Amino acid sequence: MLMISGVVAGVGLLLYFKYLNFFIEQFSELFALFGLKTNWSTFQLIVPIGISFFTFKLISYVVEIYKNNIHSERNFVDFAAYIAFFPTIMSGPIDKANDFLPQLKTPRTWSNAMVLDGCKRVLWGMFLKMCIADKISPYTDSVFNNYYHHSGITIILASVLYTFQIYADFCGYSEMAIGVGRVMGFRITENFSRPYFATNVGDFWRRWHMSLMNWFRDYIYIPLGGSRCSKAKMYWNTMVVFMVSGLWHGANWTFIIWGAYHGALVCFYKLSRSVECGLKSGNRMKQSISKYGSILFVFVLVTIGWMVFRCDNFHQFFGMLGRFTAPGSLFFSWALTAILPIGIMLLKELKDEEGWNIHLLHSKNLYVQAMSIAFLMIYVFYTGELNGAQFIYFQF
Amino acid sequence: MNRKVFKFIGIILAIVVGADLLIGAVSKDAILNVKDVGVNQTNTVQAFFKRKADVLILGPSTANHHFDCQILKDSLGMTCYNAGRDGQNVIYNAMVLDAFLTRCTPKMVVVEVGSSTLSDVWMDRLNDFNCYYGILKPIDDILDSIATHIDRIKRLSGIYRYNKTWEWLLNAKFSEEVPDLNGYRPMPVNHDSHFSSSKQKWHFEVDKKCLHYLNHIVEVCRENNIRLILTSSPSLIVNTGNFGRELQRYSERKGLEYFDWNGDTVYTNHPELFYDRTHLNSEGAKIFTKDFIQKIN
Repeated sequence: MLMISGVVAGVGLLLYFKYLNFFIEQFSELFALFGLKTNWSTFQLIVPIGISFFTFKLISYVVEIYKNNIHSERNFVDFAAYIAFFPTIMSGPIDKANDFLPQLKTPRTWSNAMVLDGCKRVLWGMFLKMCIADKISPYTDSVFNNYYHHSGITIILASVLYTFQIYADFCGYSEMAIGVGRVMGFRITENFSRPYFATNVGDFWRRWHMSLMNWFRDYIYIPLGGSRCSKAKMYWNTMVVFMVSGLWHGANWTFIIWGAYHGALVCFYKLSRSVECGLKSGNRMKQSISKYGSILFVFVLVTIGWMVFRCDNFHQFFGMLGRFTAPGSLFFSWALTAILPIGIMLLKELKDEEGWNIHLLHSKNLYVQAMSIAFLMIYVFYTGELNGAQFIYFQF
Repeated sequence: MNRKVFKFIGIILAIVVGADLLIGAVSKDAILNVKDVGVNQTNTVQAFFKRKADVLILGPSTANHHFDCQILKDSLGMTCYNAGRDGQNVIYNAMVLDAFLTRCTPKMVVVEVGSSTLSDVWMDRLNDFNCYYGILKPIDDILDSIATHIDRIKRLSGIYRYNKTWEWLLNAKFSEEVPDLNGYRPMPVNHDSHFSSSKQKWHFEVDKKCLHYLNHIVEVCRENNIRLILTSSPSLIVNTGNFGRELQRYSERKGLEYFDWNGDTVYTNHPELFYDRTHLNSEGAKIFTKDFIQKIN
């Protein structure tokens, strides 16, 4: 009973602050369709910062106590530190209560290795945010907001760049949060694992915003029955999770459809899994072609999804699709210098993905490691955007 | 262990400080010798350090794209330089005017004033001018007056001060020469655009620092017997707030000429004169510049 009231209270507050106006508008429009006029007005609410994130932490805390995985916290400061841990309060990662609370109970000691590792992750996060995300942002903003001025090739390029922008922005934040946590002696849940190297959409969601997807798996998908039920029910559960995920991102139909689109893609992938098994056979060359072909295919599908996500409404989305064939030259901007850091990021991820034994920031050679850190620092502060935009995920 | 840590930090510091000094030494000369290719940054170099003119146009993008210097020169018989710059507020205008006065005294200064040029929304963009610090005293004085202590410390670093300058320096280096339009940057005519006029409320919200520098411009012009004209350009977004009225009151108090095109149907009924909802295209700019000349004569 306590668990249910805790969850209801958390979800209720989230619904009130984030979705009340959206529901009022939608119901007004629905009634208007039937010729019924309503005089409902929307509210001017100040949404608490990070509400989507700390609500999910709160629910995790309540449910884990119910499952007997943790004891209820007697120390309010520890409880508040878990809910409002400052590096993660704005945009996660969403730590589960049973991962984070025990860390507060163990004494933390200074460790050079952990501090250095934390600093390197902060620096890499700054590189992603300042040299990629904020660099691309003026380009994508100007194309998405004025798509009617741009040619097809510019719109395609801006869509691809937005795919990198949102990753660099969000992963950059997560890296910094994890890094700051590590400097203070905490191990925060990882949020990304090279998502654009996913070979199918299911794989993408195991690599993208992992802490949120794990949360959905543990607290929505499995309680609904997960995959241990009929196939039809499993597909239904998948769709529910992705549509809730879409709605979690914001009170807008574009987010809901974006969630439904990914849900449908995951369902379709589950249906067609046998086809992919066939492709995996063959020699190494064929396997490589198949693997990178799949990566490219998933990238295209994900990019289309991000277009829906980025657009303010469907008029804009279809307007942009309509311009795909529009002739004209490529709109050039110095924001395109972000292509170099994107290349650096992809190379690093490719190295990690393939397990290549090349190390720069993590080299065992002191000189190589120090020089890599120094060059990355110079690159970030000389070329990066010092007055960049807010993190995209702050709005969620 | 400690020795290893110090050595590690020492290597990082040595490389960063070395690069910082090198970047600082190279960038200043590169900026002063940059070719004028008619983009925001090279226009600023021209306005700060090179140009002389009888008529100086100041303001944000609406000034830069709306005042055709050739038409002004032909009609008024005076040389003209358009020092408007996209997304910059009145503090930038004060820097340009003070820098200009070290070389010549213009006969007329036109300041285009929009709602954002007096508010604090574009304040962060003044960091774009850190790279000009240390070249001309009047610019340094204004940059110092708006900087915090932390800003001043950060400005000691070449990497910070010249952040991203390489982009526009390289751009200028490899760009083709463009015809000299004296700073004016016309916007293309787009026959496909279908804009309509709309209304929006902008109230007169003035940042203290911006007001201080608007007053500074007024004082400097008075001291140097320069004719100062304030303008608000036409836009398809008609302002129904009190911005124009308050600016009119300010101008009357200070004894200035103020011309407001807000809601002027000559423009709002002709969206084909616009590049987008707030900027005239080159055809619109021609009509507007002639309109402006008629009003001031």
